[in-house]
Amino acid sequence: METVHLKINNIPVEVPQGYTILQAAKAANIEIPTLCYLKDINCIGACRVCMVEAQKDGRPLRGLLAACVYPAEEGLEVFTNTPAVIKSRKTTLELLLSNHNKKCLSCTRNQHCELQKLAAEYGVDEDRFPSEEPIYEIDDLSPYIVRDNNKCINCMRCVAACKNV
Amino acid sequence: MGALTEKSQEDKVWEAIADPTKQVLFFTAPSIKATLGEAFDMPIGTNVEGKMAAAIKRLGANVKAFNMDFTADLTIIEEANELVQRIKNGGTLPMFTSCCPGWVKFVEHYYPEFLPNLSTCKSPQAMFGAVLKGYYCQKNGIDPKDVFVVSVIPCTAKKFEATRPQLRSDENYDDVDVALTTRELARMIKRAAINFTDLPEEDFDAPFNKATGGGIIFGATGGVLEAALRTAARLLDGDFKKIDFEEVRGPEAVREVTYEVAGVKINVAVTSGLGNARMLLEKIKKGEANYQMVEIMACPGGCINGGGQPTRSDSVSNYVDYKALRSKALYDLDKNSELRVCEESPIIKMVYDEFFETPGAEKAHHYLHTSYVARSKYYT
Ligand code: SF4
Ligand code: FES
Repeated sequence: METVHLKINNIPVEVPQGYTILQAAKAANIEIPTLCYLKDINCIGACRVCMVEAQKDGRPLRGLLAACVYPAEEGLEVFTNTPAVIKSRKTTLELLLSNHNKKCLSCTRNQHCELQKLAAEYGVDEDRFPSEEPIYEIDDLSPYIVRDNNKCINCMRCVAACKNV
Repeated sequence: MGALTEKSQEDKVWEAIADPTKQVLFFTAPSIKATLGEAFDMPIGTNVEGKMAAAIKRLGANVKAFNMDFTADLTIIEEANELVQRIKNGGTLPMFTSCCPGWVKFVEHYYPEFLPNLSTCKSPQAMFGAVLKGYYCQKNGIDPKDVFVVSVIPCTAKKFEATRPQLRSDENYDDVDVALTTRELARMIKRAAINFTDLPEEDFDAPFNKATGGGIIFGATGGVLEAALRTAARLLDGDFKKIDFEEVRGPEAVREVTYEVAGVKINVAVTSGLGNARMLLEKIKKGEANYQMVEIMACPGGCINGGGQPTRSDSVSNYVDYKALRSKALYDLDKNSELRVCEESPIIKMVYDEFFETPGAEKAHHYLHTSYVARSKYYT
């Protein structure tokens, strides 16, 4: 099996070719937060929460990389917790929350919600980008399932689950 | 993120519990004992059967907690009998399992040409409804209108199933009044301020309190087929000894095995997930496979991974093999069961002796079998 060598937070890692940065980090026991990523089902780089900084040959790569889709390359040096990364994640979360129905108390996912958890961890201001109140009509036509698009963060997981499982 | 949720039916159950004229009869599907603990922060794969029975009984004085593993046994008795009849009498083969309503409705929408392949057996949920509103009410002189039947099941598909008109054993009412997901039951227990983790382990209520290992493993992919093989093989060969059909378990996407019993070759296949199901159906359609029985569950891994089970954090979904841990709880229980072949259950014997006569008999047919409808590909 062909492998590649890279460094994540200065820790050398060797992983099979084809691994993403996220998988390589996991192999080195380094956590990178994710929202849209669902192993084997949804790897589309939609939410931008998994952003990391990287450099190659001593030169920083332009912009941040989405760890869940960016391949682990030979010689890459990845940094998962720089101030730029943290600022980017925080802003992303604030943007995600800008049109999110933030009635957490009555939400079924209250206290089991990845978005809520990350928002708390990154100290987000949930009203930094105030927007109109929820605008989507709640779809409860089905007798069994309710769909509330005001809670949707466009992670596309539900679509992927129906298509890929 | 809470955009897609089940439509909660807890309030209806609370109302029934508050109504002194009603007997509220709960039963819990095989997979629930392996998952409910997670809603109370217990480790994944903890078997909480005893605490679950204790919790349900504490929801109200008029509440009983029954064990749906018993009707999983009952399903196998009917289904294994059906398989043997189909093999002996040249019936439509392969026979498909019919206990997953997600899978059944998939066939109705997308592969109606395979409807005759679906076993006519009702699912364990539906059979329990029929047992309660038929046998149980008659035996105890209760008007079926005075009982309120609540199933606890792993998915929203079972909520749909509970309303299928084809499942009514009396045209005037549904056999199952409300189907609650594991999550909804957990919420009810919390709202009743029951301290779940501190509860004692209690038995289910008689008479539907016990089941065999065959019924227990229904909750995991391969379990229905394995339980059916245990019984069908003994129908074909009275001296048959094998109990563990390990070949049909496990994580591979599709498991294909050939067994030989009393000179009869039985080719079986198991899969879960509707993408895999589609692949298997196409193979059968093209004549590339020749099976006698096929088990399909809509959810990858079976009901232990159903859509109504406790939610997990991403660090679990992406990095922990929670399906294996939950299934293990069921297979361990099976391994340690005194009775492992469905027909050994004394409750099974009782309901046939007192009510259903024999497997496949007319009365058994009326209460325990159903029919299917072809549906259009598009929701109308
Ligand atoms: S496999 Fe899934 S859809 Fe089918 S009965 Fe089990 S939980 Fe429900
Ligand atoms: S987890 Fe990488 S973009 Fe969403």
